[in-house]
Amino acid sequence: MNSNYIQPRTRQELSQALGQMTENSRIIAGGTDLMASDHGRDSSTDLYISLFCLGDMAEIYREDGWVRIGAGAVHDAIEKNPIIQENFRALSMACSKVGSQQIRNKGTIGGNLVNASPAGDMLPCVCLFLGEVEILRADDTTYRMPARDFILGAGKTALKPKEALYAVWLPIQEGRSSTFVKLGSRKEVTIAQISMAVSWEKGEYFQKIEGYLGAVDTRPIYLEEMNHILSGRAVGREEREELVSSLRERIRVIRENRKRPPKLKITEAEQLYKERAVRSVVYDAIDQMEGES
Amino acid sequence: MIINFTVNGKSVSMDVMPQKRLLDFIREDLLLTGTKEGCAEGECGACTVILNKKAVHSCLTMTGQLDGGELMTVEGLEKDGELDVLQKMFIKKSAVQCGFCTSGMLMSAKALLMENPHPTQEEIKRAIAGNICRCGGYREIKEAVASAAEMEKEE
Amino acid sequence: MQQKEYRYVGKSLSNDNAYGKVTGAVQYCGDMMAPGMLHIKIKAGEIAHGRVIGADTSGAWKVPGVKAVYTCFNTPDTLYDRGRVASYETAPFQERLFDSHIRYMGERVAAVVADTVEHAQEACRKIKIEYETYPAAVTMEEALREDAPKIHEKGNVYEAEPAVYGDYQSCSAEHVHRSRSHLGRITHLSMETYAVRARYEKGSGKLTVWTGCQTAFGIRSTLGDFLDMPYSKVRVVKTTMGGSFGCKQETVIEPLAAYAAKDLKADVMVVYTREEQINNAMLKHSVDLEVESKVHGDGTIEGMQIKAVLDAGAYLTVSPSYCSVMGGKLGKVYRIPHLRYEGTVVCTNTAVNGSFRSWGSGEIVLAYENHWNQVAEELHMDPIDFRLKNVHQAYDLEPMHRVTVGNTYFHECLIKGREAFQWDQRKKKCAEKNKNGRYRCGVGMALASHTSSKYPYSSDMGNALARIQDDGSLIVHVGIHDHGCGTVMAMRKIAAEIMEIDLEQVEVTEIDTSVDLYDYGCYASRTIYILGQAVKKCCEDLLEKARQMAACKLDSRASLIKYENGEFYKEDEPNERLSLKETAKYAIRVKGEDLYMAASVRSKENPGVPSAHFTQVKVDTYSGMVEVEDCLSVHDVGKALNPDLCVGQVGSGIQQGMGIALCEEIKIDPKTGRTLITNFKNYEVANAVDVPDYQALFIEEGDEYGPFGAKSIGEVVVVPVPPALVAAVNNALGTRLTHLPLTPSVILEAIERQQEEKSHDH
Repeated sequence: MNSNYIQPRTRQELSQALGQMTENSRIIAGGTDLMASDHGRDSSTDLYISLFCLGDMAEIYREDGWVRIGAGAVHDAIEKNPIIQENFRALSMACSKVGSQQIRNKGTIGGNLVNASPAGDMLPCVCLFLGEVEILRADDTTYRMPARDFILGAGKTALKPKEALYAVWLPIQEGRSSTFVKLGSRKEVTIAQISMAVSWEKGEYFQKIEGYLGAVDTRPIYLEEMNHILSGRAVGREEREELVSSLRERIRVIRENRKRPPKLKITEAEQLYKERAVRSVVYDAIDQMEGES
Repeated sequence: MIINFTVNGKSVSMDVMPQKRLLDFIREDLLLTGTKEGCAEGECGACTVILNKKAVHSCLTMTGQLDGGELMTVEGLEKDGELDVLQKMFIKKSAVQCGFCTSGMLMSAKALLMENPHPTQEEIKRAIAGNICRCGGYREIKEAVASAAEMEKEE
Repeated sequence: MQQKEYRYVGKSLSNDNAYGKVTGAVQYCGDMMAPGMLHIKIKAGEIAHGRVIGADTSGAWKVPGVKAVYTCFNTPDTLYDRGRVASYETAPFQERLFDSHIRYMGERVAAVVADTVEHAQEACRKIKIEYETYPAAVTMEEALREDAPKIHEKGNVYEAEPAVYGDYQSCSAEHVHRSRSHLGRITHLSMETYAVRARYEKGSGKLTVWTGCQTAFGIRSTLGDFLDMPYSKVRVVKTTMGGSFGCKQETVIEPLAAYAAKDLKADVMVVYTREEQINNAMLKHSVDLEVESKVHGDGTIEGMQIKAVLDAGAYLTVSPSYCSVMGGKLGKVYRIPHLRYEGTVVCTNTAVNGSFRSWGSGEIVLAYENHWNQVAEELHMDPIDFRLKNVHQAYDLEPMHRVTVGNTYFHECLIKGREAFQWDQRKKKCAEKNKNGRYRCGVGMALASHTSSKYPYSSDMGNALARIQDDGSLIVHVGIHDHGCGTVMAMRKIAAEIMEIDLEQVEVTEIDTSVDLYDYGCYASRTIYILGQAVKKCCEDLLEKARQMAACKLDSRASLIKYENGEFYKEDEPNERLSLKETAKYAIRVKGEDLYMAASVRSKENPGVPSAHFTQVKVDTYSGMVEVEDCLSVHDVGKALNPDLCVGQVGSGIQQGMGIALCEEIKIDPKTGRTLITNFKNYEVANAVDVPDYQALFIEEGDEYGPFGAKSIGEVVVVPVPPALVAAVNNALGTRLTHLPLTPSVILEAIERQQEEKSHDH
């Protein structure tokens, strides 16, 4: 336990700290993933930079038609924030379904995105809302990029050495609703097997539907068929089943393209589960959409 | 690294190893062994403490993160020899068996009641969903939390 | 039985030391600290099967604070057995502190003792082990092959002596039915992992071991034999235990801690991580069960045969015994004229399986209750009606052990449960609702029983020593190991009830081998029934002794002395009272006598504990998720000494039973033998949201020997829950799933098969 520890209180201090990072340095936000993996006892880590006391990083506010969520904002705060609830309901719902209350109190949106776990609940939402990420460099400047381009794959992001994810920006889109569905293996405190984030234009029928499927591939999948199948009409069993078949097919292809099944999916029933269970996600999502409209 | 914080209402300034797990710091340095380790991965809730008014896993927190903060452990519930109403209700409703989950369970419940003094049954369940108890079926624990909320209301 | 109004017995007075537990003041073993205390960490091996041919410990020694590094090259070759719970027991004796023959992935290959946990851990990482790899047999199928790699010299397979009553092969009936059931491995998930402290005193040559165990004397015998020390020099003290569910019945890590303490003449502590608890202690067996029965057209059972194959993991430990005991449990619930059981244990190159709550009742009952639910369906009988035809009556012979089932109420459990759960109405409603739609409802029930003692597997005795203090308070020494479920509280109530003194005046100490009379250990659900009898008898005898003393002081004869509320008086002079305190002082000062009494009781019976579970589930046919909507357990406990804590126990059985039936499984990689789940991230137990607000009903008709009529409850609570849940899921879906756990993926597969079959038929 000989590593250094820096806990910046301002953005400037953070940039300076970023300048000291080596490839063995780690940034710790909520710690809910990092501490679970190395307990802070990994002796090869030379420096920990803790974001815990950087107040600015946790703030959520509106600015020029965007909502800015500090990367250090915790799930519980995002879930309960009125601006988020009003404009990005799916994100609030996704946050409410992350882990346990203790995890929601500590885990951050930034941590969730940077870890880029395929089962991460924030990813599909941030993609859905055309979010951008703001990244801080060691010279105290920042730059923005679309969240979709930020996530490169399982555990991989576009974050370069000596950079930190500083904030997430979501453009406010008027007149749209959204919802989020998560299928885990139990009701609360569970990891997503499949998640779905959907938004649509309010009206007599669903219009301009955007949808993302999470936790089935290394990155969230954009579902262009959702709009084709569901928009501009009364949605009945037939439309639901058509969407189910389409998603089932997508998941089947992903499964078949994998080199080997995930290590915990030993039996065939386990390997085929997501294809079969996606029906519940489709039905839940459409039920919720109907409830919301 | 010198950090300043309060623990169970007392102000402390200490030279600490900031990357040490808060759980170990609480047990080994503050000598408050009521906080337990059950899994070390934030999945069982036994190590739950209240940091800055929120229930968190002390196993997933670094001691440095305590700087400037307010920490409450199970030992801080009893005030001047008087048990917190939650503790009284845990005893009264027989919600204590082996006791190893009890401190974490109490801290999750305390954090809930601090934020939401009149929770619904659903809110109680959700607040303690991250705390595993293997000795019971949660019935007594849920009842104890509900009764504590009820008692607070009466007072 | 006449219901007497008791002061404490049968009253809900919370748990012993609840105050200490809610304030965090209670010390568990892992909370103990002492100056100079050293810490042990173990190193896990990286092969499933092979031999350690070299160990480079030089890197470890460079870490500061390291006091010892142990491997198979510098520790004794002595064999011991973690499952042996008494000095006289036979056991497989296959384990060493460190064996050069490595039998499963993650088995301990080395250990470091250092000044801090961190140093010990770092030093462990720096040990380099060199292996020679052997082919591994990871599954039972592989291990059973003729050419399978030999995990132990004597082979991989152990066949239990068949358990037989009547003649199953020759008996006959109109219906022959066959079924199979399978149970996966699960972890006990005691919230407290193993923690052991061992201190060797150089001067006296005494070893003291603190451990939250179930078998202090058993551990003492293993340590004494292993270290070649007289038992009198080994003291085992049971510490407050953070749950067991069977995992703390075995001597897992005490030998290493004790060896290190003696070797270094030091005070050492070892606390398992959760990963170690899962991979380096024991899991619940994975079991394949085959049932065949012969049943008459009216539903009367003629015969039943069960074949069980258990995966022991890398070491036999308790498995041969566990497997045999399962056969002994065939006849506890139903009147069946012909019974046969065959059990096989197979060693595999996987983590060790062993003792688990209910020791085989869970497995056997799951097999036959799944079976009877199918048979009832075949015969178009309600499962409760089917059972009512076949269950034991009070005092029926329990055929496998030739003792009676005692004063048991199987019928009443079924009938009361049927009514309280509104079984018939619910069953009808579910059937109506299930015609179409996404969600299906189902009801299910199962019946079980268990032991209250270990008699007549072997003798069972209970000892207690009670001492009236010179202020009239009472200390009771009894060799109990409270698992957290309230046995200390029960003993205090028994003592206070007999002595008619305030509960606060009674102190019951848990086991400490240096002061306590012998005890076998708190397993087989024997604590209340046997040790409760001992405490009761001991207090009764002590009261008589005190009465004699009071008679002297009051100048009368004992037969004329009455006792009430802690005071003696002469029948004809009720106003002249002599308190226990005055009696004790008189005894010491004037008579030169200490008011103490030791008592011993022996088990003459082993009454059954009928237990019926009724449950209703809702199955989401789109996601495969099962929601337990409501459930009820009915228990014939004889007498609930701690009714509140009995309800808690019922909840624990429901929670654990839900896990066994629906969601918990420790998966093993079928290729490498690696334990794939070593944390709770992917091990989903029923949490506060999942467990329904269950109901518990107790039948309290009183056993003739049990203290105040009490029998047992601690283990049986879990037994009927899995088969009831299995039945409910099958009732909802119209399936016959019996391969546990019924996870969402298993359920969706079954639904897909069902639909394929349906479209095939059309």
